[in-house]
Amino acid sequence: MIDKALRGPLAYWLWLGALGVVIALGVVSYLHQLETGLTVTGMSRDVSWGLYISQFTFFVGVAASAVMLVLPYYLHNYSTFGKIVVLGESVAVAAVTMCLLFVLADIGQVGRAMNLILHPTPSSMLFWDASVLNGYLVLNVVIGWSTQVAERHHIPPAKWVKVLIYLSVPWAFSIHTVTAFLYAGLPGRHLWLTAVLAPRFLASAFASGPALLILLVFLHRRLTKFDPGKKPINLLASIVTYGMLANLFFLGLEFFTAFYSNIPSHKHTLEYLYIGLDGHTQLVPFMWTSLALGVAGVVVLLVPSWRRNEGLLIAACGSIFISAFIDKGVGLVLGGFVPSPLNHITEYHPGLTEIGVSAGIWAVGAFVLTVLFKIASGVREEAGECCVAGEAAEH
Amino acid sequence: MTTNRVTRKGFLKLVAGAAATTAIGGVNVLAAKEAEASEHGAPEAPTGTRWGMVVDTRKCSPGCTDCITACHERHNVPTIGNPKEEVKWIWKEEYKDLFPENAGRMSKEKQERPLLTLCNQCDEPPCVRVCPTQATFKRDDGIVMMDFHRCIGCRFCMGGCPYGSRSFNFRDPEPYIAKMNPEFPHRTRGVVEKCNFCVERIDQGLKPACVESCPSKAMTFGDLNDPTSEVRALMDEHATQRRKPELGTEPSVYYIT
Amino acid sequence: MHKTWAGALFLLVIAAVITFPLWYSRAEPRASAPIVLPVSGECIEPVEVMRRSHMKMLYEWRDSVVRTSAKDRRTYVNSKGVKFEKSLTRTCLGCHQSRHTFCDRCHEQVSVTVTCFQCHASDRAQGLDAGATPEAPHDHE
Repeated sequence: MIDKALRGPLAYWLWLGALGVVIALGVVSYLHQLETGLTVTGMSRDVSWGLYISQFTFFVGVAASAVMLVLPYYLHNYSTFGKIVVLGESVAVAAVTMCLLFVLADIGQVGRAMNLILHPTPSSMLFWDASVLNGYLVLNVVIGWSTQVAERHHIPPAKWVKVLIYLSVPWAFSIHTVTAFLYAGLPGRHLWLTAVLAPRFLASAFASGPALLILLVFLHRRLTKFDPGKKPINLLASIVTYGMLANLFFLGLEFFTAFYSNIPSHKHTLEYLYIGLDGHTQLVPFMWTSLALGVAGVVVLLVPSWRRNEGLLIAACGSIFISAFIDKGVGLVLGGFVPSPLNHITEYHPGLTEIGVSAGIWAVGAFVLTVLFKIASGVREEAGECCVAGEAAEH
Repeated sequence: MTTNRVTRKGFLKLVAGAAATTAIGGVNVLAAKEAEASEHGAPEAPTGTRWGMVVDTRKCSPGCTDCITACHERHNVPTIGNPKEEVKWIWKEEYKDLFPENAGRMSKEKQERPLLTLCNQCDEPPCVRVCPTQATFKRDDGIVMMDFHRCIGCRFCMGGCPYGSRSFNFRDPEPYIAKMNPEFPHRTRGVVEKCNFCVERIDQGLKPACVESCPSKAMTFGDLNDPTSEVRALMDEHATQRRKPELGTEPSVYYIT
Repeated sequence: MHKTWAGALFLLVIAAVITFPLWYSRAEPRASAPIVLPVSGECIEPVEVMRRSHMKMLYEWRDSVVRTSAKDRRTYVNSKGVKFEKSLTRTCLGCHQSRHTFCDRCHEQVSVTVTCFQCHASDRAQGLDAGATPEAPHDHE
């Protein structure tokens, strides 16, 4: 099946080549970081996690969101998603790959990364996160591959694939819950020490992941002739709507608990993020932008005639994706370190090397995604289901 | 006509299966070995030694940094010069930052009084709980140890510590060590470090360097489980407080303020 | 026809790349005599034992000293019952003096990288390299 990715138009190869250049840039940046140490990032003694871990956190959510396709289609035989489940799984594989790379990029002594396996520590959520993420990657690769092979030969997938698919449903929820547990059990970080963190993570994931998928399906439709039809897109858009509404609701809940209880440690970080604390206002514009984008996106999605307008739908999905990225990546992870346990405020902004490595990892994700979409598209063509849903093409 | 030829696909499946089985089996064997040998999560023995410290902040002389110098010189703690990346095992913080819930209506002088800050060597350390490789672990005498060989530099412990006691080597610390003490190793870049309660001195029956070097004898070190120890006497005689006790960490450093 | 020549050339290049370490080093003069290491007195274990297992011993020393808390954990009793302190800096280098004249001699020839000296018995700790104190790092690079 990899042969499907080895043949393509010039534009395809130029795109992969361009991604390759960015990946090379990322590698060079990373080598610089290896040589000098994490001083090349913007992290500090107070803000000990930065862009790498925040992007890891966000993309675990995107990876988990594939369950929003798998669950209705496989568990409830809701056939609407039939044509695009494999695309959702491809997004999951690319996202998990990015997550694992972000974690590796963040490790101070990466040569010792094997210690995670040599000295497993069940009390550490990071151990579990590393385990379930790798498991999820393997799961999605195996499921995607097997279902594609089956589709190619016009036969149903083997029975054991069904078992793995059922497994992948709770597994998807678990990867993002365990990621939330990284934060939600730390006694000194009051922005994170809330039971609603895991549900908030999941809601934001189920908004941003399907939003990204909608954008990718439209792009895919423009580049190939594949059109899944309006039904799956509408269903995905509903999922994004509910996910974002839940996310905004949970944000409101955080505000209530913090400000009604009036407990300083609960209030401080939200004040820092949305108003500024002691004159430090660096993140305030980001958070309000995130809120505005999120609300605007959800409003567009709630009005049926707007949601059905493709241009507006695309804008709404884009704004929700960016909103969730800022909310989870920038606000949540960076905000949790302010104020520090000793009540100091240290602000963070990424270094050039950090941005270079991140760009490289984004390019790896895009590369994997492109290859997987190309394979899916090739398999679809070969199976004779290339174009509009329900029409077989002659090949 | 059937053939006994192994297809390429079949062979690859066989190899993958064998590799996976070996890997899983191997990890299990290693995990079992590790579980035996690990000090991680050693239950607190109520009758064993439990090292602790009482800091009498009233005796601390303004401007004096003898304990900081003694500790940092002895343990080759680098002086980075950039506060964002500084490495420190013991230092001074203002009273209002150590005990914010208390400081509310106190005088400015009291609020800004410098207090010694160091790792609290908790009974229930969150840093140990979150470390994915047991590079930080609890000894059965209560000291929260760092194994600098095993630390992968993930900095989860820094997030887990509610006291800000830990520092990370963002770069190679060696050039930033003004005076190298050959008796104690320094660290390399990419690992986390913190106060170790001078475990190498305690094992020889000595007191921690900071306690010994204090000209005003502001710090007292001893066995919290020994009712006849000096630290227990101080705790009985004076009102003491610990940092953020509501978090359940059970710190071993008591402050007389 | 062309395909055969191209294939043969390709195979030749691959073979050359794979066997590179074997034929490249023949251009360099090899060390003709075995390495003789400076010794004074008797090592803690016989030479053959040390040659084979010194790293294993160092790892065991490291894990017992750092990770356990028995009072006598810093004492190593050798096969003859003599006691030594488990210390790379004081026991091993106490006799063998310097990694440059001892450890590196074999390690460099067989291309082994050890990380011990990143922290233990570093050049500065042995007084070998004063070095200037660098400037404080800037906030970003």
